Amino acid sequence: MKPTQTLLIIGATSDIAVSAAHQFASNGYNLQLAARNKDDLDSMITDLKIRHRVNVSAFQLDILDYESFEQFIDSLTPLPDAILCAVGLLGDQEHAQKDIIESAKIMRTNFEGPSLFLNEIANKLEERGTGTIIGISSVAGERGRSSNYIYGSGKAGFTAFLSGLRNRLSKSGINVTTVIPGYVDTRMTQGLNLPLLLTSSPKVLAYKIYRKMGQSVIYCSRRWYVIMLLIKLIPESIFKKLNI
Amino acid sequence: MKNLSGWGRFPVFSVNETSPSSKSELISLLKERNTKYIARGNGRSYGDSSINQSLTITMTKLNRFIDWNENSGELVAESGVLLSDVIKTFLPLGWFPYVTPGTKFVTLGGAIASDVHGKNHHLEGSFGNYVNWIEIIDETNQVLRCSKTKNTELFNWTIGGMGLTGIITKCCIRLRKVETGWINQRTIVNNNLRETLNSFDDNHDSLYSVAWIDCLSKGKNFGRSLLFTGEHTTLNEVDFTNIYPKARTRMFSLLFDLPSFLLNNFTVAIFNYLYFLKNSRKLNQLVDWDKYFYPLDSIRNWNKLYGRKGFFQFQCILPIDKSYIGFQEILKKVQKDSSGSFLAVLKKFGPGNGNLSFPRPGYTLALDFKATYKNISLARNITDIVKNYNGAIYLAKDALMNEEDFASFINNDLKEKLKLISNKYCSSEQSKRINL
Repeated sequence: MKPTQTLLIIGATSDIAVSAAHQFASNGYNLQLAARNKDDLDSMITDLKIRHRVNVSAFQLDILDYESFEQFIDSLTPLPDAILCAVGLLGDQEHAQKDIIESAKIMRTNFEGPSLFLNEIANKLEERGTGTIIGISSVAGERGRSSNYIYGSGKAGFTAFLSGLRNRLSKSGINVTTVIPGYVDTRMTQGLNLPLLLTSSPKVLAYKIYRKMGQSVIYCSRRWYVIMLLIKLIPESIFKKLNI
Repeated sequence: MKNLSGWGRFPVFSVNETSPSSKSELISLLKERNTKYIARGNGRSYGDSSINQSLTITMTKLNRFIDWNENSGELVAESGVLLSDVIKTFLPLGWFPYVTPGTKFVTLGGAIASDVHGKNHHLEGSFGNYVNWIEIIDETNQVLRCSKTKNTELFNWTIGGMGLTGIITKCCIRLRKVETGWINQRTIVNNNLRETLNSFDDNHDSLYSVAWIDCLSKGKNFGRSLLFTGEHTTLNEVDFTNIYPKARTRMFSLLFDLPSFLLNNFTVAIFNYLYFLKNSRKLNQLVDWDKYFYPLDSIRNWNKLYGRKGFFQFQCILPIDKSYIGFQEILKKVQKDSSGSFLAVLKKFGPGNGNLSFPRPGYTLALDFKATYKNISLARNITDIVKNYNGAIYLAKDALMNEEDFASFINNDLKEKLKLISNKYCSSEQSKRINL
């Protein structure tokens, strides 16, 4: 039997993170959960422990407070075998494009914070020589569109970061996986009118992440892969006139 | 707005639905709402009892375990936890629900609100008998805890109260210690209705008993049935390594509605014939818990069997002394007028919990009908028979009763008491329909 593995999840209160926590715990992983407000994790942790009988610990982490990263990473015992970054902030595009503070928060939360954090912890994994980093990006990062480019550009940056990190670490045996979900039925998308055929559940996504971790890029479904491929192929002269 | 129905997919309503993911979210939602509402679990009641068009609050995201006592088998959980999750988590530790309905995909809150029963009702009562306490949100959006000793009236009316006393947010239930996940099943062949009813008494000591009844056979075979009894298998009776088998993971799924003409009296008669033949050959069997308690769960959406227009279930109870004559009348009516009832299940109940809870001493019969005009009028006729024999109809299954029907099944004192204890903001399409 494999020795018990540990997964660190940052942004652990998100619906995708909760589903992933159950998915990994049901396969014997011990969990380290980090969230901006540690107390929010209490009920989730009790539930995980009762259901899966694994070790779960909680940590406070503000993804925008990068000065705290080093201390946080040092406090992790053991250094996790895998890291899942589920941090994300959709925000309100219309509000954000008029409000520089809001835009900055969205961009920083989706790109700067997660990237700086993963870079820090990647150095530790590299020293050790094993590990898997999984970053949840978004189809919104595949091409900027008027309806969500503040969020999308943050995710685009994050996708590029993960790609570069993967390139760098492939020599040292660290896997970096970029997850590119389409619409997922979560609190983040609550109230949005999502097309049923293109929407998946956090549970299904978590299952895919678990099964395919270690691969370079995971699309949530083939449909989304095709859609984004087509969207990327549209010439800019036409694209800029589209209302999407 | 979203189209919602019960498990029978009949009737369908356009509904304002919301599903909070925490208790605090739920409470702020209740503070802001300005309409009446009803809580909904996993939507496994058959009719419209978990639907309110103006606001239906789906509780399936409040699905966390809160506390577990491995010595006493007491479990505290949010009300949206599914029974299937309880089994998945605790059967490997040697625990199983005391009472389970015919599907494991019900929430704990729903099981309490319908006070569901299982095959052991004659000996052990219904789901509510194994609830230590319930946490519920009252009219003023305060969270109250009720039990047999605290807020007793509220507790007693919430069990079987169809969600009308308020939203159940948490509960503490007791589980049963079991040595294995297997059931010793015995099959008893009964050749007519009299034998069928008697066989429940002959097998009173069996923990589980339920009869599948061939409601289409006539003449000397009228009311013939197979009584399935069951006992939890003890450890020394199993000699294999798989003591706690897992739930079937590969579930068969219907991708589309079957054409409704596939189910008619002719095809059902053939099915019944084959089913009878097959099962009367293997009289003693070791069956795993999933197959024994939840045979229909293996088809994920078996409610599509009845076609696009859906179906309804009719479940009534008749007092013991009226059962023979009453069921004779009902089955004859079904044979004459129905377009096929695929499922017909008979069970003897022991003492019940009173108030709105359905189980009470007597025999209960459950029938499935395709939702056609013909079957609906048949159901009205059977309802009259049930009235004549002082029976009652199970609210968790009902989609058709009217105000007068229901009035004849409940006495006025009870109704007045319920008015006092129920939450004035809670109502369902069913409670409006029958003026509950």
